[in-house]
Amino acid sequence: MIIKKRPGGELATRPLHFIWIADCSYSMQGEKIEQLNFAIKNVIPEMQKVAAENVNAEVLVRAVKFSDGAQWHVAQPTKVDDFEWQNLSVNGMTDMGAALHLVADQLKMPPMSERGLPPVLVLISDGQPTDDFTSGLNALIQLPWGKKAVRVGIAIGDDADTEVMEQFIGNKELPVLQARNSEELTKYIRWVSTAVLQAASAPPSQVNDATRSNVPLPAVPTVAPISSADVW
Amino acid sequence: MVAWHVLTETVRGASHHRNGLPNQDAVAYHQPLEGHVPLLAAIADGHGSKHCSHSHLGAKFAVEAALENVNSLFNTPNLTLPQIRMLAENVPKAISNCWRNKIDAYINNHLRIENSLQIKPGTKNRYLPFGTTLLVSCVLTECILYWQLGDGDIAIINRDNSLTLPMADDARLLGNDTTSLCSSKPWQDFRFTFMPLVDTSPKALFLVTDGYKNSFKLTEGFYQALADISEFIDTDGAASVQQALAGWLNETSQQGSGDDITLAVIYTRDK
Repeated sequence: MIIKKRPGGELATRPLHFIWIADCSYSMQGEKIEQLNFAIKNVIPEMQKVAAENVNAEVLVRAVKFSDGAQWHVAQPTKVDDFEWQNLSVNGMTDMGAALHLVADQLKMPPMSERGLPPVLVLISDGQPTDDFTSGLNALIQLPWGKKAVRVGIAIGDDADTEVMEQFIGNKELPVLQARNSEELTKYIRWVSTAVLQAASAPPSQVNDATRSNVPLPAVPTVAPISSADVW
Repeated sequence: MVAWHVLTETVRGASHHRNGLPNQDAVAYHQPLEGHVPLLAAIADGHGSKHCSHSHLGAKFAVEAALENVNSLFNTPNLTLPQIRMLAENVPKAISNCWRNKIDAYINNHLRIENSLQIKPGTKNRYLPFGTTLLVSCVLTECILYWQLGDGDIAIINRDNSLTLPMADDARLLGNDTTSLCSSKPWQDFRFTFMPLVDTSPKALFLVTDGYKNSFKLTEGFYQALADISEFIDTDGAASVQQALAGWLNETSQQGSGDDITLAVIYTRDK
């Protein structure tokens, strides 16, 4: 006799939380924020394509913005197929620590589940934190999912504090991505939205080792030399 | 008195089908006399990462090493519980060394593969390409012994259909990170526990790779799967369950984690 009923409860693919953490301080005014909005909006179809190729991962996208304090720009974990980007606008200081606290609150278990894939956190900033960055970072990395998250930092222009970005990334194998102009910013946003998302959505098991990335990451895109006239 | 039986299955994960990769899991058991103890079962989950290009072999060697060593350590009749516990402490190191020996022999017999092993420069870890987890159970007259290295689940369905998880949690095993036989001192990462068999024996015990639990929306749904399989064995017979099991696991992988799924079910029947 063949038994028809499949054992067990409801099946589900594994959730993968992808969170943009975007600097909206005054220094981002003009071309920087415009290019950030443009690049994220334009990369969404490519993210959807990557997600479609990894059907056993459910990619859920959110966004945090920080300036004077921090708020969720997209608060609900949104399926990438339904995700739409609303333009960010600039306002105030660079409260990066507050943004990391917001993210940390959402990486606790619950609301996160143990069966998820490592979250991807992308911090984008052109400046230096104006609040207690260390407190925010500690809140994040003391959490199991904060530690296991793939943390990527994109520094816009020369004034970005790469030291705090390095602390955020916490992985010597992954450098801060220095976007010196709009073309490089677009390139890095595309890389993290596609290649990194791809790697994180189908990660093989790997030996526990705190010294390297939580998922095997693809090579960082190279950028061509540029003239000083092209630099932000 | 009860009779002890085993049922095993392993399926290639949906994502490995898509990517053309082999099943990285392995399963094996040893029961010299059908229905009787000793009864040993082992499952292993090869890591399958870029640096672990031969982990399907590592998993196979792991279950072989487990059965060989556990069998040789506990094949002396009339061992007392303290003696069993003392021997059990030697198992992680014995398995680890045996596993390494098997890999050394494999590499020596297949010299040309040495170059193809994607050993990360500087690590000098020739075992990394074979990285795998390992879960082992050994049923003796006096007790049941469990060892676990890395992710996966060991669960017991009791006579009253309640579920017990005998193994302590390992907080390091979150996301895709796991402890592994390819670590420098893997025996230190083994977890071990044992359960004396005094008045009653369990209805079933499960060794399961993590691809199964990760496929269920809720952990309760996974536990329900184990309870259902145990019940189906009771009501419909092990042969029916065996016939259906690969189909269930394939469906579960496709709609769930996409990972390989392997299980060994040790179940009892009243004589």
